[in-house]
Amino acid sequence: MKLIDEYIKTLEKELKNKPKISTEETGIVSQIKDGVVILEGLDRVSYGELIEFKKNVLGYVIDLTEDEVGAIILGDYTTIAAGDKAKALGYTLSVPVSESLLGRVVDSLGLPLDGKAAIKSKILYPVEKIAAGVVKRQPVNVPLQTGIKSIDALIPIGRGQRELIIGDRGTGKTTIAVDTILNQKGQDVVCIYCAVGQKNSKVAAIVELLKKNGADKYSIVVSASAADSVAMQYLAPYTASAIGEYFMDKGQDVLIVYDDLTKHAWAYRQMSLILRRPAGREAYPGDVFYLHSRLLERACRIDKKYGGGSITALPIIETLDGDLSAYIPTNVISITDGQISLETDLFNSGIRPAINVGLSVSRVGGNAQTKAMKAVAGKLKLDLAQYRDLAAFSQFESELDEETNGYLDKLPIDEIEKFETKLLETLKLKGKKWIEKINKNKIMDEKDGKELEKLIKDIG
Amino acid sequence: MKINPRLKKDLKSFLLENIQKEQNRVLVMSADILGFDERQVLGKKFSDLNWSQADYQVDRSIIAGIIIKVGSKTIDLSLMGSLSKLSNTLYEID
Repeated sequence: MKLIDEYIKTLEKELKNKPKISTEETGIVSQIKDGVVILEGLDRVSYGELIEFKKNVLGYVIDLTEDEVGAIILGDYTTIAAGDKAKALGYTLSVPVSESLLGRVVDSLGLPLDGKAAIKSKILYPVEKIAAGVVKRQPVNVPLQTGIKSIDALIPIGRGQRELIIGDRGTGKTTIAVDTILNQKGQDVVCIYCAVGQKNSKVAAIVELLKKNGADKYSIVVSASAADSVAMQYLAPYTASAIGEYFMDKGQDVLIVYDDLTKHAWAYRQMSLILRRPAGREAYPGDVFYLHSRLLERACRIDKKYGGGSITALPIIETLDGDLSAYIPTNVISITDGQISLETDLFNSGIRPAINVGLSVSRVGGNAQTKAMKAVAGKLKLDLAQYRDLAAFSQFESELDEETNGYLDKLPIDEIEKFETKLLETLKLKGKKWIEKINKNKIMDEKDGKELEKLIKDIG
Repeated sequence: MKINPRLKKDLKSFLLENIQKEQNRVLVMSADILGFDERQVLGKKFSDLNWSQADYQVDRSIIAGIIIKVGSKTIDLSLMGSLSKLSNTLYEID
């Protein structure tokens, strides 16, 4: 009884207070298009503001004309009818962020997709945010090891870099990205895999793979699949970026994979065409460059003074028939700090990962490479280019010069893999002191090099 | 045919004025017809609004209370509004 008495007392108190009077911005739905609504009213709404329809469906203002407001619907737009009331909420879209996101699968609004509890956090990060300025940044000089030899040696990636992975379908783009995530185990890097317009089955397979390899403890999956509305697909990369920024602000290193930005551009094109914005090349709107540049600019390495931390971005672009000069590929190539170009021909001839070394570059990663790696791999690119030249010549059956290190010259090609495992075994057994020394100092001096050379010759 | 620029200007200012008037028009929605006394109380309470051209509408679906609309601004003092707010809060807790 006591409880009820207390309850009644509080109720009486509340009733005595005068009702709070607050004004709201309201409007009426006049048109509904695929994922986009046009509203009347809402005279004082701002760009990027959230709008609430009935039944907890939210909209996001992306178009303001003289007497109409265009908004994309976040979630199910089939429940909205023409003539429905809409209310401006007065704040912009943000997602809840916390440590508990690790190991989770969420959608573009930060809502769980894995059937577990909702992410509860008082900290909200805005989905759209201007990237860190020049003063706050620091050059890239710490490597992010992908664990793939050819990439770490030839196209090194540094923490805070944006390295594009580009290639036709089925050339192993996602595999490279996911392998990189798996390789971050124990490296204190938070990994975010952002799937845009992917098949749900593919996302499920990746989640399973991460779990199987224990990578779910440090990774987050943000997914807007092909079945989700274009609005969700459009927002997913920005949400992933916002989540990344939370961890970066805490001084941690973050790796974000955007898989893939081609479909992101498609989603944006669909939205823009529905909103009747003027179409440009390939029917993309005029601001499709800014769409990706503002996203990728958020990848950065923050100066120690401002807390350190970094976001490394691995955007993926799918080309058609190896055409790097299409609109979106050229845009993203020019935004990023280099690209890893994958080719179908190489893939089919058994070279995996099918990296075209000639077309792949890393514009800043060189500074991030350890000195030992530089000493070994410095000449590699040149050697490969020379090999290509000679390989073309060798079809004329002419004599070849012996110019390379020549450790593997006498070895038949099918024995090379066996040689590699043997080499690694011997190195682990006999070369322990050198490995420890190089790992510690990150430098390989001449003496060590000669001794290692001897070891390799002994195996052969 | 050329239109006299002065005419154009006049037309524009006339239309703008019309829109302004329309935007400042007060619309009151209530569950029952408001009596004279009640209207007086409203006029006193919201004295900065222009009550001379106010529209009064009856909408049973708001159950009780009133909704005042001025242009795109809304002041929701209805029972229906409070109930839907409550249901939103309950949804979020769940």
